[in-house]
Amino acid sequence: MGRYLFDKSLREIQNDILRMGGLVEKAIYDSVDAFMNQDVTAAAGVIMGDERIDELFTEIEDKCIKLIATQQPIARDLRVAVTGIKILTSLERMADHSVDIARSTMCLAGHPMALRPLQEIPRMARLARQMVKDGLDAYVHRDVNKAREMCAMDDQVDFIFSHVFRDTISCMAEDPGVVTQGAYLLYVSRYLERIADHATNIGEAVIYLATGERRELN
Amino acid sequence: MFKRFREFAGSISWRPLAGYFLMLFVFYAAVEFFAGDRVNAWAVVLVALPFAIALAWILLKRILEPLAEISEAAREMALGYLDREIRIYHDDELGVLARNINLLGRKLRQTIYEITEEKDRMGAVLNSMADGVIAVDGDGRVLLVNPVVEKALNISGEQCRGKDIVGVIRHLDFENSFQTALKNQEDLTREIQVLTPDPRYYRVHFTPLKGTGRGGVVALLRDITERRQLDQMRAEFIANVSHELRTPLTSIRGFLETLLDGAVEDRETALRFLKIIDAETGRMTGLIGDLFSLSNIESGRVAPVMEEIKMAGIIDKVFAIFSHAAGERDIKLISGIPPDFPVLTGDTGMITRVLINLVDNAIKYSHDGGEVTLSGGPAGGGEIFVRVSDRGIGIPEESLSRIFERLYRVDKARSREYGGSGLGLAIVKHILEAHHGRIEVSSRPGLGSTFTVYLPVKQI
Repeated sequence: MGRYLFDKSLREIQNDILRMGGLVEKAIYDSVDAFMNQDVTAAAGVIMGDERIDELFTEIEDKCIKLIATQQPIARDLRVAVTGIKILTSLERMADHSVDIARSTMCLAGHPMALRPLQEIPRMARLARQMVKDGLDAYVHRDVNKAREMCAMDDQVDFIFSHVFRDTISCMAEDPGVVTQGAYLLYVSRYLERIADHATNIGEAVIYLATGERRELN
Repeated sequence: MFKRFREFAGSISWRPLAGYFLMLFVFYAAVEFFAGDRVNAWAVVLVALPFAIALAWILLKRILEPLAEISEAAREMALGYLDREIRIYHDDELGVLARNINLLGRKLRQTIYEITEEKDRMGAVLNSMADGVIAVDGDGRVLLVNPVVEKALNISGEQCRGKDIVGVIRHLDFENSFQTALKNQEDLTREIQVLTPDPRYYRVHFTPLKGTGRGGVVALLRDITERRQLDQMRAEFIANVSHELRTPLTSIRGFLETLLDGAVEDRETALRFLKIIDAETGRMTGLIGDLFSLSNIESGRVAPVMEEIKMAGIIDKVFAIFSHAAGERDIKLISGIPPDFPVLTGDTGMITRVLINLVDNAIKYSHDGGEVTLSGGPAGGGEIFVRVSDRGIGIPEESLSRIFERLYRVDKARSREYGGSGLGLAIVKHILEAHHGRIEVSSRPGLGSTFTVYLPVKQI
């Protein structure tokens, strides 16, 4: 296999990762949307859609491993293959968190949530989605600056998370009747915070890919 | 003279010079060979040398110099300086060559100008299109995206060129439709949700590129997000109206059936039921009346009758209507309209309706023992304002932008308890629009709401 075929298979792997990225972005959006609208059908859709994402994950991971085993790439090529696996793993974790959010929606079905910190969830979800989108865009264009800017957004997500955490705890302390709702709200905000963290992992992988430097960005 | 000769000499390369001397040597050798001792060699040289020099001079002037100029001109043209013209006007072959090269330059210049013009025009068309354009070649690589797409997806066109389509729009449907259009060479239309990261909906039309070597597809993206929202609002409105009409109707039917089943014999029960039926019929009539006046104002079928309005008079009337309802719940109605409030032009009936709806809401959503305050005055820019504030339950922030929608309710269960058609604020908004005015709202949940009406003093 010559250089041309090698480049072609690297390109194919990158495209597969982006395809999976598109599905994960949609899963995150759909799960939060279902949670806010208490839409059990949409939540079930997210849970079912995760199977496809998992399939893609093993498929692309196998491709990466096969490429490393048969081509024994070095330097930049090796970085491309390795970051591919790293980004894949992050995406897969994000998809799992979306499923967790969808499960929370199912558990809460029929109990409209009326907690004050609920208002913060859409803002948090939007930031997290923006981070995932920017992370994948940075990966496509090997854009180190975009990756850095994206990772800086994680602080905002963390800030909102701590805010939601405190507010929910005080709501639960005031009224023990909302403890169940509050617990799920805490879970969902925690999942979103984890999704944002995985997005920074993508950013770090992009920086490593483009420069060979390792940076801890969150 | 000597200087000019030096210039010439400088422009002659060693090869022609060596050629001349070679020629001279061959001439000398031929004379030696054929003539032998009969001719003085030095005489031959003496005769031949001026001839040779003259020949060289002519060669230089007529052939080498023009050739050098032509070759220099051709080089400059190749570098892109197409304005270069060769000034050689000989009638010989070199002159023809020079003229042809000039012609070539002129033609190239014209063609390049035309192509550039064409490209600029195409670029301007693409840039000024309201729809997004993405062109992709047969290998799935992006050829170009226009500014609409750049803006919508927050990417730069330069970065995208040559990237795979999935790197620009991470959407399986988009990619699959593109592949289908390419494979079948058929137009294709799809509706696609793109997360940017906020969801936007696009109707994407894929057209295979014909007449290019490697083929490709052009995708035209039309943003239909707003239309989808409108469709959704319309569907919600119809659902709400049906619900609002069905609820009283169900209860009317229920009570009527009970009456028919014999409850009519018991006078007391029958009277109670009839009262409920009367109230429910009243609610339905109210709703239908409101719907009707809303559609009248909205469609412009009923234009406001412009006359002079005295605000103090209207407020007295409105307070008189609500004094009983407010008194029952110990709510104070306070008017802070200054005596010198400007006289407006407008439709008295409609403006009264605006204040009735606003004060009605303010009382409805006040706590017992609260107060509803009206204030007003000039707002600058030829406008006046009238403000209705309460200290009631307030409106949550996420509902503020929607309360003027028809039948929108902040809290579905509670509103029905308070009564009302859910059309009050929509009517207010449309009346004010018919008067070239507007309404603003600010509210803090738990602290109360303030509605401010702005109206121009003079109607145009």
